[in-house]
Amino acid sequence: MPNLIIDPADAIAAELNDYTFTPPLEFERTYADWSIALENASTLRGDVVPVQDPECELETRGSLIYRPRYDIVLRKKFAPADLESVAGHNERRVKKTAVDPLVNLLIDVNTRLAARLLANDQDAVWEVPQIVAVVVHKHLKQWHQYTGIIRLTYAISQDLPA
Amino acid sequence: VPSPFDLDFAAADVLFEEAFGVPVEILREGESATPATAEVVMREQAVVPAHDDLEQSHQTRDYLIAVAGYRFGGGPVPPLAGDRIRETINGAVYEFELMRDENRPAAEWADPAGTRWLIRTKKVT
Repeated sequence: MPNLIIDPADAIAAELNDYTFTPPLEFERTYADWSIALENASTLRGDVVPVQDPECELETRGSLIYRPRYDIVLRKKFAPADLESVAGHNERRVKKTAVDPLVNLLIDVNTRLAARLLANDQDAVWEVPQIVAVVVHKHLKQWHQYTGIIRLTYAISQDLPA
Repeated sequence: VPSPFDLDFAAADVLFEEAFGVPVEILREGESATPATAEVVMREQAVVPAHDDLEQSHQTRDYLIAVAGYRFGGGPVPPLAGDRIRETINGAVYEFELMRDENRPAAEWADPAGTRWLIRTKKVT
């Protein structure tokens, strides 16, 4: 039996894993029910997470429309070679040249899915993209980590039982 | 001029370092590793939000290191966020990176006389 909420998430992860991004990375569909340790974030990773409160409303007298949302979250902890000293400052910061490719990657991910039907789930219609953060400044500043977030909304119609 | 109390505390710092200090190496990109003695003063495992319900776990480890012992290039230097402390714990080698937290810098003086650094790190390897 198809799962209205989970199948699109798996299809998004599969769609993204079928494509070779630069830099390369693997996407995994998760429930956000676990925490990644900072020391394990040195490899670029992508999470596809169903948002916990999908919208649902009556579409017609005989059908519902679901609007599940999915967060695509990219994370990478930078290595010492990616940091630089700045004269007069008591902190090393992440080089812009290390962050820029990841910002571009996030946009590539968004573009890859934009206005497309998912190959593995043709019932889910791409509806609204929201770039929540091209880079979370706080993570970059505090943890020397890149975090980028896209939230996608799909629309899925389901007939009501007769 | 240091007060008598400052002098007493400074003398006690040496004793504390002898009693509780552990050997570490201080690492900075582009510099040779520096051996030093550090006191571990705080350890904490925390789970922090990365975005909505997505979480990360961070192992915090704070050190005290003598200002004179934090050296690169032949002389004492201020710690910088992004430096790393390498420590052997139970036979395994780990690295902890200097990071600021929400409202505090990665390093600050630990005492009024400015003889030791309080260094905030998180485990990164």
